[in-house]
Amino acid sequence: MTFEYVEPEDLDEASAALGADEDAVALAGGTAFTLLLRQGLIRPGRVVGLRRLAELRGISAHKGGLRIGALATHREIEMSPHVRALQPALAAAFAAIATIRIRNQATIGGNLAHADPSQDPPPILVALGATIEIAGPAGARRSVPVESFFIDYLSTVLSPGELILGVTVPPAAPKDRAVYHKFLPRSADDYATVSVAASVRLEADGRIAGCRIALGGAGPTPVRARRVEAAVIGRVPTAELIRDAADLVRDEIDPIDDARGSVRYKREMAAVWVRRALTELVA
Amino acid sequence: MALTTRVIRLTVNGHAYERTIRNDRLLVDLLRDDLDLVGTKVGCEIGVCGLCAVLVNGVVLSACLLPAVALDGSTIETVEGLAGPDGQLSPVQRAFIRHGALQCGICTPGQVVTATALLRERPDATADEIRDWMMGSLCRCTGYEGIFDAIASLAADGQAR
Amino acid sequence: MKLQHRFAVPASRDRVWATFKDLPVVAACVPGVDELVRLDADRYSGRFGAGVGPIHLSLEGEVGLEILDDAAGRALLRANGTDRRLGGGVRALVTLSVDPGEAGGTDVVIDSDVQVLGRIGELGQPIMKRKADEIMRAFASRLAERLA
Repeated sequence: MTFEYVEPEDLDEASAALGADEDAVALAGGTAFTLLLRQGLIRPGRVVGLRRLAELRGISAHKGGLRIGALATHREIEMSPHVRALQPALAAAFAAIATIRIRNQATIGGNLAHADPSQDPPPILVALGATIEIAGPAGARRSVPVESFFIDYLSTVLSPGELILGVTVPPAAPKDRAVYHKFLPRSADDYATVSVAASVRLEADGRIAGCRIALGGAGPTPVRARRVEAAVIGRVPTAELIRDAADLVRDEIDPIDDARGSVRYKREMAAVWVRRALTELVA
Repeated sequence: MALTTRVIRLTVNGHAYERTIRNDRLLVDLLRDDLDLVGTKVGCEIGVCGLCAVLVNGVVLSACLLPAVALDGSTIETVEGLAGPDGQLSPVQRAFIRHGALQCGICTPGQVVTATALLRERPDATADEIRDWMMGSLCRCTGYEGIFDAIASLAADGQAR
Repeated sequence: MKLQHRFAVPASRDRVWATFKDLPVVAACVPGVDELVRLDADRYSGRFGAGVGPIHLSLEGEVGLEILDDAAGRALLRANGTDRRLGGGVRALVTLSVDPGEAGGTDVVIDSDVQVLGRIGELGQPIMKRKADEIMRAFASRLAERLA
């Protein structure tokens, strides 16, 4: 049984097409969609192709902030002069995804809506304080911080009829630094055993004024390591402070035993890589 | 009752095609089974091996991950379109032969298509760029050196065009 | 896939056991169970739905009480369901045990042997176990509410 396919010309049409049918799914790049379809895990009655929606395209900069359309491909983000100049860690995180062909096809909007906690974009977007703009029926609009967007494995706050418009990344201050580490000890698939995205804001005296840390592959959704953050904010970062703070991440995450590692291994590696990320950022 | 097929139009290797397809038809199956263009190979079927690499509107993609219904109006290039009208192999194809970049040949169409896309975008591609682009094109036979050398030789003297 | 879940219910062992013998009541505590229809004294047909994001499992089948040991406080349930939409199904053998617990409450142990047939298995055991844990937690809490 195959599906009906529609290509709406504007957002309201798209929203209506998605909302009218509880079996409708949106098609952005199509990587996750095709995999789920071929695995037989989804049987959509209707597929709403988004490719005609010009409002979903483009990457722009404004006063140091970035605005990335939902249909921007991973490759476009990786190569964007705006992204590379303003948020190099974001460009690097997108460059770490899969292969050039996947990056040419997959989109940031589709990635977020798919909500697999092992994906690369969510942790770095959380670490950079990004927000997701959502379009709903009859012109409705709302914004949700990335970290509040995910509810569970493959589940987001999107209601029927809603779709992602784009992602906004706030401007970085001059002393802001960010990094993304993808710990990938195996090559059988491209999802990290655990990944760590971290951003810090340093004072003139070297104290950590702000810190955001998010992990991928560490639970059913990206995990914000708030206890680790609280342990370093306001402090002068010494090796000992960082090590003790990083150790706190072990109990903040909720990974599962799978082919990418045991729960114990993932907890250990999360601490190792949080420590490495922080050490690098304060150096 | 919902319509589950569509008419799509594609230009493939310079030829215009119009076909009625099921909405869940993948591009790789359309190319191989409906258009008899079997140069594009089926490998992993999850987009990671590179065997099914094709150019869609100039962009290298995995045909096994593309619902054809979303490509109406697109321009596609496959390995069959690389050689000249008189059968003369492209610079990339000739370089692959010169540098022993193939053995069994199953990955070769995907390698050559991806390399072609790379050198079009980056005629003087660096070693890092070559590796970054080509790391997703797996080969079980050659050990990759010949493939790398073939592409690097073209990048070095800008002969890719 | 073998699963075990344990939880305590703040009600007497006899009350908990009596509840477990009443299949429709037990079914009402399982999130996703729907349209339970009695076939005979120990068998019911029904529907069960669960989802992981865009992936929806929709089973139709039967559940039957096979063994009921009042003295030992053990029950054996067998459930079979098929998913006609995705193709596949689930077969489960579930052992329920009740024992007196702390402070006049009851310790419940549920051992499940679940076979997942067809496409749903592609999700992988870790995801399915997590989902099963979630369903069991909800079951335990609804059961406690009902018995309170």
